[in-house]
Amino acid sequence: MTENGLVVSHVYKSYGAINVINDLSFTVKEHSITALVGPNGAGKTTVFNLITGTDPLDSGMVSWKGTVLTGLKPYVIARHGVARTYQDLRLFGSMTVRENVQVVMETSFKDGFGHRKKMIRERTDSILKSVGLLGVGSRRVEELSYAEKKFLSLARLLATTADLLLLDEPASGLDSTSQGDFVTFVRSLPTHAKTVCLVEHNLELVRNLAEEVIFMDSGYALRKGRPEDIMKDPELGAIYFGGVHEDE
Amino acid sequence: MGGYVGELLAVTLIAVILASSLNLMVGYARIYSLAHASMYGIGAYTGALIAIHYTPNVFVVCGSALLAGAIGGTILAGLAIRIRFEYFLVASIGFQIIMQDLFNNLGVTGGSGGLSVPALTLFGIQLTSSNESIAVLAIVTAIALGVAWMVRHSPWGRAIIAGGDDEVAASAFGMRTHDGRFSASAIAGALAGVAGAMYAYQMAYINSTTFALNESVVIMAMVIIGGAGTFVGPIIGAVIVTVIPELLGFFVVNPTDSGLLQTLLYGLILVIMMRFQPAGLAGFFRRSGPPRETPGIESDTATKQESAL
Ligand SMILES: Nc1ncnc2c1ncn2[C@@H]1O[C@H](COP(=O)(O)OP(=O)(O)O)[C@@H](O)[C@H]1O
Ligand SMILES: [Mg+2]
Repeated sequence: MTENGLVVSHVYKSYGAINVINDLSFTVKEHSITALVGPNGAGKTTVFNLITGTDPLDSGMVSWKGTVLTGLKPYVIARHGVARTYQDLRLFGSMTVRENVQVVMETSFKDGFGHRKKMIRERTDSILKSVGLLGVGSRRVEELSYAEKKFLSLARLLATTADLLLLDEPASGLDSTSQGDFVTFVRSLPTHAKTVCLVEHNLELVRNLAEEVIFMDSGYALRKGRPEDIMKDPELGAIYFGGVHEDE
Repeated sequence: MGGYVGELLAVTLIAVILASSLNLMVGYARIYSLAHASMYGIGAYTGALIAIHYTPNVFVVCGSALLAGAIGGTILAGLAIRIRFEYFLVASIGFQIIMQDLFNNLGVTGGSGGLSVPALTLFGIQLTSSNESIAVLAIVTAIALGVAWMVRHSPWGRAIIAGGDDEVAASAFGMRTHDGRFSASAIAGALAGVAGAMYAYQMAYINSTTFALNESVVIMAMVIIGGAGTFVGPIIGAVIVTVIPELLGFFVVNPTDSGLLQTLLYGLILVIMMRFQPAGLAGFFRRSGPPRETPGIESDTATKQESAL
């Protein structure tokens, strides 16, 4: 394997009789931001499940920075530098905000003692601060607002050492102020040597963020290209807006 | 300290160990086990047999009960990672019944006839007075609570809790959730095993009726009533569930009525807790309230929850 970045190659996945992913191939360049767009049910979340090993793929190959991830257990894939958020967040509900970040960091920085405890406390503080949650660190997850929960799910990503970040509809449900904060946040990631692949319905936001767009429908990658070219395509517009409720 | 109060204190401390250890499984790893009384029994018989046939040395007796309980817990965890959790509840009842049968029918256990257990020794000195035996039990309880505290407040324990909260997310963040379940269950079994050895020592006698399914249900009730997933919850639950029947015994003259009342009261308390305070009594101490209305959220999309998986 010579290619760098994320490589998804000829992947198939079906649930029972339904083919959810069909011969899907795409690449994501290191230190770039790529958006996965397409109507509901196109298979975008499934792609993330296959990359992270949550679900096994039927055939095909996934690799990150030259390491083949196909067939590895989720926790092993995580240790190869892949982290994700979930559309339904999946926070650790019985823990405080701070503990949610802390437990991920403690897993990611397993080695080394000494100043480790202090390092983890300081890093947790700075991560919480960067997403505006430092003041609610001792709250339990259930006491947070929806927007706070979404930013906590991003904070959990920063607590890892992962350099491939998969974001599943991270901005949906945020108001325009929070979306602004979110754009600033995601834009800063490539400068910290992170590679981002995100699923997003808000095309304005995609145009703002992504260098590359992959348009999916029914498990096929229909088009790949620059955001402005993809959005001009009338055929894709028909698929995207035709019959599908657009939440904006 | 002796007589009635001493015995009630001993039974209460043992209940505290049992509830706090089951909480590691139920409250943290989210393994709903109704086999905890069998772990308790494994430790009681192991401790008793070691004391009778080998040595009553307190370290040897507690150590072997701990080990035996840990093995029981590990076997149970092996079941728990293979079976979906609602089925596991049933499997754990099966495990409990098998162990109950073994306690009843193995020659070495004395069945319902039971075993007489000698007093334990510390550096060759017999610890026979009730003050001495309560002191040993208090130390063991303190150590057990220390372990339970560590699980709530160590990196390793937090990973167990994260895995219990959301196994999929925890493993996607690099946590080995199976290991977490194994260690939670092994430690819970080990502590229940030590509680069993302490029971054998305190009562100087054991028989198989103590380690039956209804005891597993009572331990579960302690955890639920007090508050699963908290440190203080199981302690509160253990004290209440142990002491209330005793108080009832004071007020109700007829012992048959007392037993009936006790059963009714448990049922009533469990129903009330589940309906109004599922977080248990410990939930009253926790700061809570409805999520604040914060800016940063569009109300119409706030509750949008698409099924992602
Ligand atoms: N675990 C599963 N079992 C069965 N069907 C599934 C499963 N996960 C996803 N699907 C189906 O796969 C299709 C794509 O789903 P998904 O990847 O969530 O779409 P998207 O994220 O693009 O909206 C949907 O039709 C969905 O019902
Ligand atoms: Mg989706």
